[in-house]
Amino acid sequence: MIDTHTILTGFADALTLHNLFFVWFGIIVGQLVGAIPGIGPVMAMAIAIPFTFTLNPLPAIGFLMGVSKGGLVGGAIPAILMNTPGTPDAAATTLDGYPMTKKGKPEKATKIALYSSVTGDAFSDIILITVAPFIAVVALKMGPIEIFALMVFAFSIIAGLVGDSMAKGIVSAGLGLLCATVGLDPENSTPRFIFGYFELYDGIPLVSMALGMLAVAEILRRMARIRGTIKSAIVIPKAQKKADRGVSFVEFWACKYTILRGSVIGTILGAIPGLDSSAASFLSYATAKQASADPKSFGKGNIHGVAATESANSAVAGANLIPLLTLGIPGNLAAALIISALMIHGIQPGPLLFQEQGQLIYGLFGTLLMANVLNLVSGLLGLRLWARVIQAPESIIFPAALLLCMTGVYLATGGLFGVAVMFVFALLGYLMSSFGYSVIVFVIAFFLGERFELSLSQSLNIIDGDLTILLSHPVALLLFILAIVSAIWFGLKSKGKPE
Amino acid sequence: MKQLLSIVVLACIMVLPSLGHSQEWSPKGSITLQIGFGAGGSTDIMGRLVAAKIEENTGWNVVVENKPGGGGIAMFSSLMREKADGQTLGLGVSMPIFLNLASRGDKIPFNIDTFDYLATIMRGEIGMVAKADAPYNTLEELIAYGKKQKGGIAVAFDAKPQQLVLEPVAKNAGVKFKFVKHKSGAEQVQSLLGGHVDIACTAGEHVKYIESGDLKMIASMSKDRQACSPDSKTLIENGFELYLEPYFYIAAPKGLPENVKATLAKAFDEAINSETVKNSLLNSMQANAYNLGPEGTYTMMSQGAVDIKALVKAAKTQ
Amino acid sequence: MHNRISGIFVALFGIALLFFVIPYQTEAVDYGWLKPATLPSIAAVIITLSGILHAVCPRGRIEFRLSSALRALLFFCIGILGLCMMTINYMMAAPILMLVLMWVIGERRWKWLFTGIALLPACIWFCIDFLLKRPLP
Repeated sequence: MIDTHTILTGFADALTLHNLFFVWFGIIVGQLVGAIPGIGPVMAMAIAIPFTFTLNPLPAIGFLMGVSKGGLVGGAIPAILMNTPGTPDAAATTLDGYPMTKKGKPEKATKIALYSSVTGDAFSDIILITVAPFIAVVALKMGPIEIFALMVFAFSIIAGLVGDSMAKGIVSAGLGLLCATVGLDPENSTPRFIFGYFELYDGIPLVSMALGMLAVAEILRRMARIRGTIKSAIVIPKAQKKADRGVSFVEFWACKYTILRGSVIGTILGAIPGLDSSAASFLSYATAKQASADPKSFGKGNIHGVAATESANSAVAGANLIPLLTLGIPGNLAAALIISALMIHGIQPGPLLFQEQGQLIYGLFGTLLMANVLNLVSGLLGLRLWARVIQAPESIIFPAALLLCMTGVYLATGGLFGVAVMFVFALLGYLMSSFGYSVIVFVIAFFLGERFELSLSQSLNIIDGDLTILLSHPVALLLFILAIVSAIWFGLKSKGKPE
Repeated sequence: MKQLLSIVVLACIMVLPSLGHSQEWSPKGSITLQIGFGAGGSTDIMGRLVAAKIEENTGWNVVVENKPGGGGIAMFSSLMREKADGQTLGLGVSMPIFLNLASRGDKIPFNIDTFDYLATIMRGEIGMVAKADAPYNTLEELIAYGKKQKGGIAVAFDAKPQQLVLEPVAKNAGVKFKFVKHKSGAEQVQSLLGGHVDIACTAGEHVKYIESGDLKMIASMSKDRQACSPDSKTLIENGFELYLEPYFYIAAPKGLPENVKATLAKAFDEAINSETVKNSLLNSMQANAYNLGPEGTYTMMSQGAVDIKALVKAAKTQ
Repeated sequence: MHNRISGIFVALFGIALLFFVIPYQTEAVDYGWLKPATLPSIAAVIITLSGILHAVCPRGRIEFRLSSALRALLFFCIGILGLCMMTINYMMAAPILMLVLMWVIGERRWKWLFTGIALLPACIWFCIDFLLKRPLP
């Protein structure tokens, strides 16, 4: 294994002023782009990679990790303050974050988001540093059949989110699944539902869908609601008690199980390559709701709801590095970008990384821990700034948000076609939420859909009609049983309490 | 008089090169290099590397634009409508273009002859790989092993042409391949290391794992053997007249003026064969920079399209 | 009532998908386990059945008011017009889009109008075009 000397020199590398500057700069950029609707950290990383050519590997990767971590904190801010998530990861944060704002507690909501985000992130970083190789080996055992079982399980958990009408919830999920099948089919790569648009070969662009459904639909709704006098986008009561502005340690401690659960869910899903951080936050939210003594208060401004989603989506960030650093396999888009940045610097992520680049890896670990502290500090400073910005009149906030969404989607999808798609989904999102069809269920079904179909195709081909193969996949069988149990349980629960 | 003549001659000598120079075209404003894939991927990085080197060498301004969609189809469909003035160029990968032209050419607005070709940047090397402790080392042993397996051999792949090439192999050898589609080479390696599939077809991703001793190459699917495993035979050496060679290439709308084409081709050649680009490609893609030049690229594109068309046809008539 | 209508509409959409859209927008393949049309068809069947179920026994709240929906549609159309203008030139479209949006909302204060129409597009241009060298439309 690696000797202590390498570990110590690695950490010493991390703690230089030079490195600290780039990491902090990355975090500030990340929080900023995360908080601006339409421009996400993944895009910022993609744009920034060519600029890191000139840096040394450690500050370069530190900078990119800073952008990624800062983005997770930043994305929650507009989700909570304006009901428009800055990044798709923060979609679930709107569920309880925005109701808290409506209750006049935006500062409390953003602070608990920040604290749980940093806690979840630190948790997964510590897991990464201590037991990464072991986790990576276990995660490798999750093959296509297990992933498919996990997808089925996730769908059954999400049944707990559908709200007051099961039929409408299922329609939303079906539509989300349907939209996820646009583009090349996973098995034969034949185009589906492209209606002559070659841009749709790769499927409906995720940012176009997420921002259209979640952000633009809400922006349109809010602009339409402005009549007569123009108010601030949010009004924080002047004479607010101190207890309503901040998060006391007692309140934070009360969320300890929620945050721990979220961190564990995020770490597990992050360590399995190919799953998305938004899936983690939805799963964490749904389980927190089910575990709560008062599930009905969720969606109405429960602080646990914010803590659950933010701890989970941030925990994914650290855990994504587990398969990346130990096996060279990127877990998601952000991790893939980190891989390309490493490769530009002539570093091969892969099985030999720890032996060849031990010092760099421990430098990176030190950088990650440092980044968590910096994220907290600049987050606290940044929240004050955003709380001020958002008090500007709504007549400028919402048009500006719309323009930024259009610009961001143009940049992210590489053309105005993506912007047009965003508007189509804005219309759909507006109609769906007006008629009580859950937009959130649609979005999560869309997120899961692609992987669901791919792993279904892979499983069918591996099994090849021989069902006895399933017997050699105990984890998958267990997940299938869990899925059935939870579906029945949610079914009973929703029947027990008619609205 | 003699003096005058020599002055005239001297003047001619001085003027002539500058005349030649004026024919050597330089772009008005910036050149746009469109990339048929999203930002941050390997094709994107490759394009940006080359563009930066061209800027450095020539002083031109090269703007890189991402136009993802359908493995380059979206980008080329719009590139064909641009003016053929050398100001707008595209970077694509050959395999997805060949495959789409072969299987649904009637729905694609362009064909190979719709474009002028300037250069290739590199050639991907596809290998058939297995986990290091697998009970077979060569294609022959794999086939022998496969015949004993009742369920067949699970083969991971991430692009249709790989399946098209391996189907005739399985058919001729009389073994059953279960094709399991993956999203990327990295995911194939993941399935392979986890023991979920028996073999995988990866384009370069295998190199570092072969060096570390986690994977081994069963056969090279390129025309030649590969540097990372020089003892592994190609499919052709194994008696199957099949190979896959995806190229990354630069194209422009048809009808570039000769001088524009020559200037651009020269600029690309210099950039592609520069030390920085060569080293970066070696580091990031485990592949050597490889420029076929304008004629070579055109020949490769026409030949490749014909070859893949034959494969698709063969698969359909089966 | 709105609930029933939405259920019927959803069911019709599902049927249209099943019989008209899916057959024309997917390709038939003759081998493999998961056909391109399989999952979309399953989704369409689920949508149709749930739509019928919802039309028969409607449940759940509805927050649809025609007046605010029409106003939202107005802003939607302004956004689309802005998008059309962007196909010509972003730096021309962005200020006009901001002006129209803010004016229709009812903003008349010069300070804020200036911020939205001049400062914001200039800031976007500076960051994206100038600093990052990414082309705007």
